[in-house]
Amino acid sequence: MPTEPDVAAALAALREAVRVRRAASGADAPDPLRDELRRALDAVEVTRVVSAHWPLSATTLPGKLVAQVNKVVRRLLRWYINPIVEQQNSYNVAVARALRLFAEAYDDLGRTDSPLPPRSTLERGPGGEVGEPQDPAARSLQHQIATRGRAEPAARFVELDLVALGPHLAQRAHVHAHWPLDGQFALVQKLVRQYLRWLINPIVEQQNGANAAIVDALAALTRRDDELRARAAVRRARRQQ
Amino acid sequence: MTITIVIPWYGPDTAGGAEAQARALAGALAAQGAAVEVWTTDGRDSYAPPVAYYPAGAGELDGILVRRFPIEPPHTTIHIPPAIRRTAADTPWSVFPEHELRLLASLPSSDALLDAVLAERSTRRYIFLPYPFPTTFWGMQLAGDRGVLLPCLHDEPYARYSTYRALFAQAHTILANSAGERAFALQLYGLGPARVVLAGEGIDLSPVGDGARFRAARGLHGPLLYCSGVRAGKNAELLIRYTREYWARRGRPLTLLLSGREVPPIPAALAPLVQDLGYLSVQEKHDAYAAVDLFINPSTIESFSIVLMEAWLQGTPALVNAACDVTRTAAVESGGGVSFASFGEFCAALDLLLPDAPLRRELGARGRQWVRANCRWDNVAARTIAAIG
Repeated sequence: MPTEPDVAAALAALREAVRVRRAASGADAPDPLRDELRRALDAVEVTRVVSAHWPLSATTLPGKLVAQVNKVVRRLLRWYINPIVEQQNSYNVAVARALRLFAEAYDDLGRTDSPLPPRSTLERGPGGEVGEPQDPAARSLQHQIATRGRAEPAARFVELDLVALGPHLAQRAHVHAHWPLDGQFALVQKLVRQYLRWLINPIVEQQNGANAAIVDALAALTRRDDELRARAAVRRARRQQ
Repeated sequence: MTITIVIPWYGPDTAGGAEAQARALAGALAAQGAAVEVWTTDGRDSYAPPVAYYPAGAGELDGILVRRFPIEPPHTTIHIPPAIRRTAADTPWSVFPEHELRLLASLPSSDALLDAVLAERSTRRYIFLPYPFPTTFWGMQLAGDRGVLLPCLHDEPYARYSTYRALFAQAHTILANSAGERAFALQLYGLGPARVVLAGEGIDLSPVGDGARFRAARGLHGPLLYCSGVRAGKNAELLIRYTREYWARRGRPLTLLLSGREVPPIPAALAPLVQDLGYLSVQEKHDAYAAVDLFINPSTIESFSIVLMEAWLQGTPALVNAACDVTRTAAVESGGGVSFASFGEFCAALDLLLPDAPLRRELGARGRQWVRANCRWDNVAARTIAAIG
């Protein structure tokens, strides 16, 4: 009869491995600036979602009447307001992700000058590659690459995620207040939207201005990060020579 | 019966892999004795605004009759072409998600071209390429069993759209550029193997590069890596950063050369390590392949990879991204290169190949032999004609 796996022991071993790895990377060392950054990023997570539907209530009878009217108006206008808010939220998600990546990138950049762990002596496990070369010499070469590749100390390349995020940010930065309207009430909705332009459009345009500026700033930060990594690479390469 | 190649852009100033393929295929089909025409828009290419660039109407290029129809700028709302509305008015296009139909409408097309496809379908066989464009999607609907799909398919999110699933499901014959593309299409769309024919793609097998001349002209020394055909989405960012980290870890002399339309910004501090070659003449391009120690294609979106074949033709071994079925399959079949699935494997491949000139020569020779046997345009044209029937 097979023995039950000791889950508790496996978890304890895993936690210990993570602790050792974090200690080796300096992640557990006290760092008030990093803690402050984490708290700030947590605040971004908490506040990044804009809601168009907050509670409307009142204690007095006139107040309750006004709240009811407001609820009806809000419900009648949600075809107009909600898509704008959703676009902004989509952009905010991308910005929050970019900020987290930058935080990770700074941690990573701080480690680039640390000596690398020695290459592992892990050997290749059983099982072949899918679509392996038929020629034995070519197959052997690809196996050597796989074996040596596993022994190479890992590298994270956070900056690639930042580069990939750039187009997503740019795509979401412009919130549209005017999209095609169709359906039963399209004519009425067009008239309402036309009337409310004076109110909504300036808000959207100001937000778009801020969104575009944030995109530019994040792109500049990405380029700066890239340059700093390049300089660190030059220093490290010289040390190897 | 005239074989009519339908493609959004085509012309002497037109850039793009599918466009270059269409031009070479047209010539190869004509050389086999087939009657060939090309139908296209009067736009230049995907890198230019969707406005008229060439004169509309009939013309000739490389001895092939070319008919150009007015290009239409992208539509901001869903657009069902008039020819489709006339012939398939009852088709419930709403079965497709709105964003997928909007994507189709957002791409350049020509309603006049689609009208012509419908009007002349009884006297022609059409080859539509590449798969994402309205000229192909709607053209295949209009052509019916007269249409053959030459998709130039690669693994990208759009390939999973229900519109394109329907396109592939409807096509009775699909021409694949490579074994990897064929396998991907069969697996992604669950097609019967007989419907996807490996027609292949060719390259010009005549160029002979002069590596020593290129090194001397550019003042290049030491181990050289090269990636050509760089443009957005082809993973040059990954290659630059992998090379940077490899160099930082090993400290050995190394130069990564890049060329293409959209080489990403290179940090100033990497100037000695990474060089943008800028514009290369055709001969310089082949000289560059011959000059380098290793050609690297990090891209995962290929249906054939002309640049890989060109590098092999000059006897240069290749390192390709294991995440790309097309190039990895070519490397496995030819024995002309190896693949990397991680940064660790990238390092290992360079460690093994760069110091070992005999190994590189052997791989390069295998690649050259394979290209010469598999990338002949006359064979491609003959397989295409046989598949069209």
